[in-house]
Amino acid sequence: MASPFDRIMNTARMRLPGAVDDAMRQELFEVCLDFFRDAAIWQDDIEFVLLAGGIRAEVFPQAGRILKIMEVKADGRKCFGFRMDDEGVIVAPHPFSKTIVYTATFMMTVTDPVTRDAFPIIPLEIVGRHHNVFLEGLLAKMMSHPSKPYTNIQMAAYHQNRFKGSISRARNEKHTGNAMGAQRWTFPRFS
Amino acid sequence: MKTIQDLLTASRALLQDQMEPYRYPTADLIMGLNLGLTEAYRLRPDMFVRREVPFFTIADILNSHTLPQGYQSAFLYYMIGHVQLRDAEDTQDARAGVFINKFTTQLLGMA
Repeated sequence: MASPFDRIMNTARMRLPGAVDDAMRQELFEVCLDFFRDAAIWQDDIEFVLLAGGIRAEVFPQAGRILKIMEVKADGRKCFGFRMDDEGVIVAPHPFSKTIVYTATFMMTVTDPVTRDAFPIIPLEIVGRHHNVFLEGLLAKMMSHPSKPYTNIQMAAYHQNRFKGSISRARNEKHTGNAMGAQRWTFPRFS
Repeated sequence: MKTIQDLLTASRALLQDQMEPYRYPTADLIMGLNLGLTEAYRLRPDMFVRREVPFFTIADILNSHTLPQGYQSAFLYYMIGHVQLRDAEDTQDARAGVFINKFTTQLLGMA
């Protein structure tokens, strides 16, 4: 089955003569870590139950690793004071008198692939929509390797700048809900 | 060149050593390949991401190898250079040096 990263890998092979695929896959993982940490673009809603009198609950994402809690809601209302000192363990600010089902939005990142041939597992739509970000990051990291046929410090800096710029744009697009000229906060509608 | 035997055949063509009994023993050529791999690990560790440096023996001759595509000729040159380093009438150190330098250049440069 074709990987969503095929287009990125094919373009990178053309621009990095002499690079081996295993090294590119390895660096792609690092690119993903940078991208998801800085752009906060991979978000996942996970439900968890906090039992009456308890303050801890564990969550298990279907894919990826949890980086941060972005928002916790119960019955559509925002809840504050939740922490995650250990990955996947949600700590409430204090015990509650009844059992409550919460929905938390988490900032996600990639987990290390288990096999040498595997690509990082990330949502397909993110790869399709932001493939240029992954490509710029990959080229920057590969070209900064010491003493390789594809080493090119000037081009590495160029691609790194484009990578950082693309991360900012992706973060902004996510933040504004992909609406042109919009901002996250708007006046409430009263009509 | 998919198997170790393919590499041996190609190296014997360049060494003009295609008739038995061979001037350069198969074990020496395979040792050259193994040394080339360890040298490649020093120069290009990216070729061995998430795997050990392979070590081949005569028993592996018919097995397929996992040398990176695009660098098979470099390993071929190292094998030839390695066997020609020994003191023999038909060869010179300069020729061995050329092959080993060619290997290094191919691994590190665009040429």
